[in-house]
Amino acid sequence: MSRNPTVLLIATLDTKIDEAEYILKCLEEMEVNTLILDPSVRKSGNREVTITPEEVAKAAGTTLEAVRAFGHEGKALDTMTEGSIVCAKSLYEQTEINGIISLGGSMGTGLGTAVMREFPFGLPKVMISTMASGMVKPYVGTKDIMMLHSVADISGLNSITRSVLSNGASAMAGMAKSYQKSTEDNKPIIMMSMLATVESCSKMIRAEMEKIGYEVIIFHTSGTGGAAMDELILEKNVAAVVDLSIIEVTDYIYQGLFAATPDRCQSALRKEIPVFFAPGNLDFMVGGPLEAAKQQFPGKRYHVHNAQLTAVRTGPEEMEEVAKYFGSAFSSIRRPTEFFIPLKGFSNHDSEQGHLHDLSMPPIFEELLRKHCPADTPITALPYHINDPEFAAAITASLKKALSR
Amino acid sequence: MAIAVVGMIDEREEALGLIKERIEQRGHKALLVDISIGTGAIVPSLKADIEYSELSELGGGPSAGVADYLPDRREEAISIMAGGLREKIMALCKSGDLQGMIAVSGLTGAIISLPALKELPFGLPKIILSSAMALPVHADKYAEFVCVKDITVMHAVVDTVGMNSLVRKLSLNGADAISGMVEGGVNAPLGEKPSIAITEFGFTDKGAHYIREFLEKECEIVSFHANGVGDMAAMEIIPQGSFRAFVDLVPGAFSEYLLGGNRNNSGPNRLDIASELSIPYILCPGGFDIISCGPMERKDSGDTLWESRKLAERKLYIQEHPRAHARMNAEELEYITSVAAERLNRYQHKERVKIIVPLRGFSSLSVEGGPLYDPAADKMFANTLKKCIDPEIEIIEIDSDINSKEFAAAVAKTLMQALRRKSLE
Repeated sequence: MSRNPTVLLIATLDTKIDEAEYILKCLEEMEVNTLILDPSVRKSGNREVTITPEEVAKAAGTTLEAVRAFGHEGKALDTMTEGSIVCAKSLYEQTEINGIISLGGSMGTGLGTAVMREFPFGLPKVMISTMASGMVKPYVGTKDIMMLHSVADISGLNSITRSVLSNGASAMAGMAKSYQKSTEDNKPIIMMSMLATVESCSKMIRAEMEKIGYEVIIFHTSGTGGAAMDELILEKNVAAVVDLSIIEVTDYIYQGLFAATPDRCQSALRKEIPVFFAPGNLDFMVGGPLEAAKQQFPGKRYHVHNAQLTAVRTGPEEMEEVAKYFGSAFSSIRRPTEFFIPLKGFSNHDSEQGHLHDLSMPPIFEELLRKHCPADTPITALPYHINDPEFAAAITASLKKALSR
Repeated sequence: MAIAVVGMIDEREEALGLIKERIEQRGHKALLVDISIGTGAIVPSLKADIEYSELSELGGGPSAGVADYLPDRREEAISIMAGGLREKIMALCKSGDLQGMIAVSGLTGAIISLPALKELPFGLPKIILSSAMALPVHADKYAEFVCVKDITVMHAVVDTVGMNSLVRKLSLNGADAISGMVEGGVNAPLGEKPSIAITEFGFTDKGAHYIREFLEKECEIVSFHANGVGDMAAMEIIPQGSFRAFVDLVPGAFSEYLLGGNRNNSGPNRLDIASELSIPYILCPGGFDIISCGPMERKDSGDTLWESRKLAERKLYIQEHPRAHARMNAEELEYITSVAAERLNRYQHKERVKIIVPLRGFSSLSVEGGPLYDPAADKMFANTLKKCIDPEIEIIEIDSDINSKEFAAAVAKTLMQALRRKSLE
């Protein structure tokens, strides 16, 4: 039995009615039903919609007249965003929605993506935007949003806007038709952080765990991945977490480029599920182009990764700050299942082939970690490099043991 | 006809395989393109339709692939693969074999794939599914590609390696989106009226609106946001020749570049967009009255722009955070006008270049009663122009501001005359 899917269109019809109508027409041609949420401030009653501007304002605890009376675009936008989120969520509970599509300039993109970010991973989300430039982080956050760059202004229908709107609508139709709510797999999930510099370790653990029926989901810790992992740990049913790359902690403390959130690595501790740590990538911080990196982190060893990024060698001082960070998390929240320290190096950079190798550092970190953690913290130091098979095997064994309990 | 599925098979075999399978299930042909550089550990069972070795050779690298370059010539390896991929994809596109492209990648794969995506024609479905596209560190690098084309960036959130419920959803959504675009694209109707490009921004909103109203019946107007980034898109698309005329209402990105303002992304060649085209080009001085200088914290922090131009002593217009604008002074206006004239004097078809000057303000900020009103400085534009511009380029002065109906009517009239003259040739 195939039923037509339903898609929620978010559009400010006071300024974008022609463009919204065009999307509706495209969706209709592809046999997709639509619901419309109109968060317009200037004018309402532009066409028949599912949720009117008045209802959006009301959901934010105010009235459209009051929002207009702000006389301040930013404040009006915040209020209408808040109301739109409330309305979209309640609509989602009442009826089946198979995707969310929106279009807009700077204001519309902020509002549309703020609503999308409130919806689960996997639900198709398409934002047709004039703002889809290189900097999409503020809009996509930690969600699977598709940003389709309109190239020209979305003002009026012409050959360029028609093509972009049609492509966005078609992508949405393609996805919405096969999207089903709650297609969760039954396999238990393990979440793991990494960077290419500790990939061998992560690969070996993943292969072993997949063999015995687990799904392993990998997060790239370059400033967004770790935050996404921490968020998903709280949201999803997760069996265990292996935090193999903690560079976002160091970079947060020292304002490196891979800084993420102030509470990185803490979700699994809070959720009381098995969690394993290794100091992967604690051997470096990430700075910008070489000259900028030297300025920010003077007197260090540097390795130019590419024109934009420089790896900067850490020393005892940084190790101590990171040890303190974990020590405080372990004492205030909970002990980890086990903290593994590879005594022969923390990443590819910190290896015999690497450019930032320093064998004296791992034992120093071990000592500092023991100093700052509660005495009963399970810390295990092993005479291997993080990418040695023996190291991955030790984590895997301990992980299997914890999961079998 | 096929949809290209591009990625490193030695890192992402499962996701690529699932995308290919899904595209085929939907009745399309999928062409698997392997951009492996030897970083991955997978020994694939999936067979590529286009092998990495072919791309490496096309890009001027070794026929065995670029793995040997990795230890200390990584950048070179990446640029070889990027060049090879771009060439291969464009060859497929030119022979009419390509319906769309989806790339699945981390950071390196994104850098390899973006040049090919950028080169593909406007309108052809293009998606990049990557966990690395939201990294602020690389935003400037990505901007060079995604700012100028209709590339759909799908944020993967998780790394698309291995197979799990999240990667499965991403892969299916990616495959369904590109297939949907290909299926829907057939119906996208083309405009019948001649297309005209215009640049505009918030401070010339009304003027642009009136111009559109005057021209709407006979033309369709494509508007580029003159915020620096939209200027880059205009620079990429307009020279491709699909527009019948170009109304450069707001060339402010050029003065911003010369003076160091915020909307400077489009660089020194901003005024050369139509220099080799034979279409009518109308230039107005929109934005030649302001310097974008926000956020206001820069004022007291020893900022170079604020200090060197003494912006704190000028008339300022402070919008909501982070936007702020300072009044451009007479001396600066003289300077930018003389440089602009020099650029316009190099145009191949000077007889098609018209400069229309609104004598009562170049933006809504500089009209009488506006926060940046300075008629004496504004005068420098027309005065300098008359001294420096080639006599073949016509200057039309209108005793009104840039947002007035009178001004818009003059622009529309000049444009229609030029189009008619051109069609008589």
